[in-house]
Amino acid sequence: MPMRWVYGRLVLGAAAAGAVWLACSRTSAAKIAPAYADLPASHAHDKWMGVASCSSSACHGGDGPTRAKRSEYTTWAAHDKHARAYRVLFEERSRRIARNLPEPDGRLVEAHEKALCLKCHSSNNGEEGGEGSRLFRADGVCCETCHGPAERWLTAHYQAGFNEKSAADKARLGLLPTKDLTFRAKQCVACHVGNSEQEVNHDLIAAGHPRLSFEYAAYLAIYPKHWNPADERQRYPDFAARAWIIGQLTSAQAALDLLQARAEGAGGEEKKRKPWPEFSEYDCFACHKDLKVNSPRQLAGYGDRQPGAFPWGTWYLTMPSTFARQPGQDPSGFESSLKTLREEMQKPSPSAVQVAPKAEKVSRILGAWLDRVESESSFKRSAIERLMAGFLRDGEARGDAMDWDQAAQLYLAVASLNSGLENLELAPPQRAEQEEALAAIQNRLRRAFPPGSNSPSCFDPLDKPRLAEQFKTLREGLAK
Amino acid sequence: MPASRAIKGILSTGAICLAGLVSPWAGPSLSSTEARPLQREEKGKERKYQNAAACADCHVQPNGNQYPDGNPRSTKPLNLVLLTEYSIWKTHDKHAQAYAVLLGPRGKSMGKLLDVEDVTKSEVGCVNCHGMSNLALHADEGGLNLKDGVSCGGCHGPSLGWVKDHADPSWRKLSPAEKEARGLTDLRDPEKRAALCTSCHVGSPSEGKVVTHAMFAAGHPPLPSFEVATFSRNQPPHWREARDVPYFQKPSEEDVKNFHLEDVDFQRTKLALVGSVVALRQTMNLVRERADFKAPNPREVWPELLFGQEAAKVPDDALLRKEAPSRWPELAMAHSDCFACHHDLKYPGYRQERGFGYFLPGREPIRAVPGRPLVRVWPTALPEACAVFAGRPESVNSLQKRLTSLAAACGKKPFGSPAELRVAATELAQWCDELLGALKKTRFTPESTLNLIRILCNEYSDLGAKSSFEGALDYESARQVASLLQVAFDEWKRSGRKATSEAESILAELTDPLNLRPYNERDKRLEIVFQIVQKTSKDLTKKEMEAFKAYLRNPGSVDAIRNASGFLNAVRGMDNDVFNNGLAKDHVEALQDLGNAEEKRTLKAVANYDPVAFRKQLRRLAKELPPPAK
Repeated sequence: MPMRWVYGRLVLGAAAAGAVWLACSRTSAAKIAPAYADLPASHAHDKWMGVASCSSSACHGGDGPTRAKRSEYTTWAAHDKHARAYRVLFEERSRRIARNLPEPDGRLVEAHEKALCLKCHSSNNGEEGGEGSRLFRADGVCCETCHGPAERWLTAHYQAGFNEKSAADKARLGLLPTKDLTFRAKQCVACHVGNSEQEVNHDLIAAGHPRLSFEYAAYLAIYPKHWNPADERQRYPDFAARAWIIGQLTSAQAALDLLQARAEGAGGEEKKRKPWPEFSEYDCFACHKDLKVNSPRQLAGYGDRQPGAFPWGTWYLTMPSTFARQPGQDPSGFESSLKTLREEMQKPSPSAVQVAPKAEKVSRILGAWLDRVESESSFKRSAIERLMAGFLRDGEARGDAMDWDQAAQLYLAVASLNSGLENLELAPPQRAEQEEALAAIQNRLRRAFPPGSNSPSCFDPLDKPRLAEQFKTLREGLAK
Repeated sequence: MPASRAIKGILSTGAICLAGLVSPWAGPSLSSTEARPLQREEKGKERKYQNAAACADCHVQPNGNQYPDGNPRSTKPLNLVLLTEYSIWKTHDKHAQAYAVLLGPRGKSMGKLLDVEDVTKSEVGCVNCHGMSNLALHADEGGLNLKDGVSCGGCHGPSLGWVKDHADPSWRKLSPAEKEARGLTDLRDPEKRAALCTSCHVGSPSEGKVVTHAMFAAGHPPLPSFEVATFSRNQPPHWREARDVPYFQKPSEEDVKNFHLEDVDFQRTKLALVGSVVALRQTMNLVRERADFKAPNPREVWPELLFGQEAAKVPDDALLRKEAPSRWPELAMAHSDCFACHHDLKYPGYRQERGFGYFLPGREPIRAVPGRPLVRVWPTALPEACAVFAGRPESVNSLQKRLTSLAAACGKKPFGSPAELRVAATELAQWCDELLGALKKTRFTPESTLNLIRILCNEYSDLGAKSSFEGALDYESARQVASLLQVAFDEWKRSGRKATSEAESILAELTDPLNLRPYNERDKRLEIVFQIVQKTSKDLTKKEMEAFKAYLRNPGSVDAIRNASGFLNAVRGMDNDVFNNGLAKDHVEALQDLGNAEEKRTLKAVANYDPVAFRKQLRRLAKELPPPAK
């Protein structure tokens, strides 16, 4: 059974559970992979040409099977939800969100006209056309959203010699280096995690928008690719494992940059002021659960938190912490800086002024850490196995006290690393057992949501077999 | 955090503060615009509280001389009161167990989570509601026995100044004001009664009565929506409805005034209506007092600022006032709607379908920003109907305006802007005062009560709604509406009107889903009480207790009281310490189990609540009502 199936279903489950299903990305010149750090920001002013410039049957609109070369547009149009990003704004859920969420001046604006929505659900902030352009909102998140506005490279890129250009040279023309895993991740997180300009905050979620819970490697695994994954594995032999690491660090950094923006935006002029405390920073299900008598949380106590304070960073900061504790990682200052940030965020009323610089510091450390990880050569089987074993040991140790977010993140990590082993074609012989053990955890995570509910109210890590035991089983399988 | 938290620090400075500032009055009967009780410290040695033991002499059991003599207007005590009040309270009323629960597993685990060594220490504040410790400083010699829980004085007032005279027939001729001057609270005035109940059941920060979010998170059950008439019935009452009191059968004009007998057949309906407006006012006071960063007594108003503080580092009042604004979202959670956040997420849930805000029937929704919780919604459910009933429909415009300001203040940032909330809450409380004035002048008739029922059914059913969710009520608001409906319907029926059996069954159907039954493990609690009473009265039989229960169903009957004499004798012979220790030591875990079962039932009702079904039930009920007279 391909691992893709295993976590594909989980991500779908999480989507029903409030995770985002919609993808979109935009370039943020300030946040690009170091390899392209000198990429000029000039393309931000380039003209968008629209998908019609790409979709000719002789170019990318071929009728080949999915993933076939020259059928990229066709694959996107037929299978990729990004193509429907704008259309969903006409659906009932979007209409409901728009009804619930008036503009700051009190006006009600339809979702497909709302600037907030158009930022991620269309290209170029919903600005159409212009002279010589065939860009339409209706095309949703289109080719140029990820590949860059094509004004300067559209004609050049099918000329002789273009393919021989370096990625950096292409990038200088505005064709963005999406083949680079880190750069690609930064593109994705602009919408899927959010940034200071475009975010899914608690107001928007309360109005009806699904919660964002992005996991790069898992999203990539289920993404209907318009390229050949085999080519990708040639570039990155350890693809799934590497994607997981890069995705975790990139997403965590994006989440911290967003936190910083939120904290900084908490003061300032009233019209632009961001809500604070921003509840989407916290574990949704710490509050959003039917109350129970003698709830497990009460019985277990609240650890370092005061009763009534919320657990922070359960989605984006769970695995980077675990990763940091693995031998050979030791990103200096990460754990201690994260701890002081977490302490502030988990006060019943966190101070925005305190949080902003603390978040910036952790983000900076993450950036340096990412650079280092990126420069490492391909992971060997032994390294991936060591990492997996380390994670699973952590799961054994903390499994009893994990919430759904933490358990799901650990599961996705192990699933991705397992795929990484597959990528290396060095999968251990007892793979079927491993798959079964993984599927059991996945099942547990999915079954946590009762029918009709979006809170994992049935999740109890102590139900037999205990979650910690399940991680143990996996680790023992690995050691065989 | 060191376990030796702030207690000592609070003791050294806070006790003085408590002594100086907390009112000797349990129940503020003040309007919102008057000064708070803090400034009304009463002097004089006669305004002292006494232990329940002082009342037990007469109020355990009547003797033959006190029985009615056939003439309802004679001054025989049983023509007016029951003289079993103490026995009913002690054995049936959970107020008498209020202190014991603090010693149970929940009280202990709350203390542990909040880092409080002993939750029964008066400085911690729990006993302000659970044992009247804020009144103990104004007690007669020997102090108040906090272990009696919420006892007589807590509601009836400091008794030293009237205990000797109040049994004298001439006492009946005094006006409520004259009695109050001596210390007796005028509980027959619905506004005063409701203010008293809601001072704990909603909260009164300046008296040190507030349940904070940290306390809830540590295990305090959610404070339920509060409708005074139904809660009084469930208590159970240790009094008779005025209509059933022999002495009130042919009252003089003076009696009508002194005993508030104006609407004698609709006293519960009136209590429910007045109580609902008082609950809104009290909620607004809760908001206002906690959002006032100049609070004169910060230790009482914001107890959460002290939790987890090291003894040596407890800030003084001025520092606490300075800290309070930075703790705002946390402080605001005490007055917010618990279930606005605490529900399993559904896609799409009725809240998102309906939208967020306050919903006055038949009017444009008062929209709030999604994701920014509102001040408790249930207190806003009934006042609109009260205004219409009181013949002041135009005042609903003003209610709408003020609720709009409140919603805007809540939406300014998550959990609202304190400064704006303070203003909005003050204005809403003033609106309540005006409406209470109008309600006082409104007379209740069978027709007007039926009309009230009609108003509620029409306004809150799905009649005329554009969608099944438009204006749908949350659980607690629906519970308020259903509660008032049951009370009003019952009195309308008792005034000689005939209801269809379908109407009766619809009203009965509302009881379980909205958890309106008298506390549902009462028989099991009585079983525990029986065992304790039996300790000092070995011969007491179950049959004798059953006879007392039968008496409670018919407290006017002399035969019933004679039958109950075995049980009442046992109560008379009981040692108070043995009883309190029995509750707090031997049976405390069993009591907790019963409390858990009740809470479980409540929370299940909240989780299973179906707003669409509720609206349909009201529509069905509307059809069963007699048509309005042409």
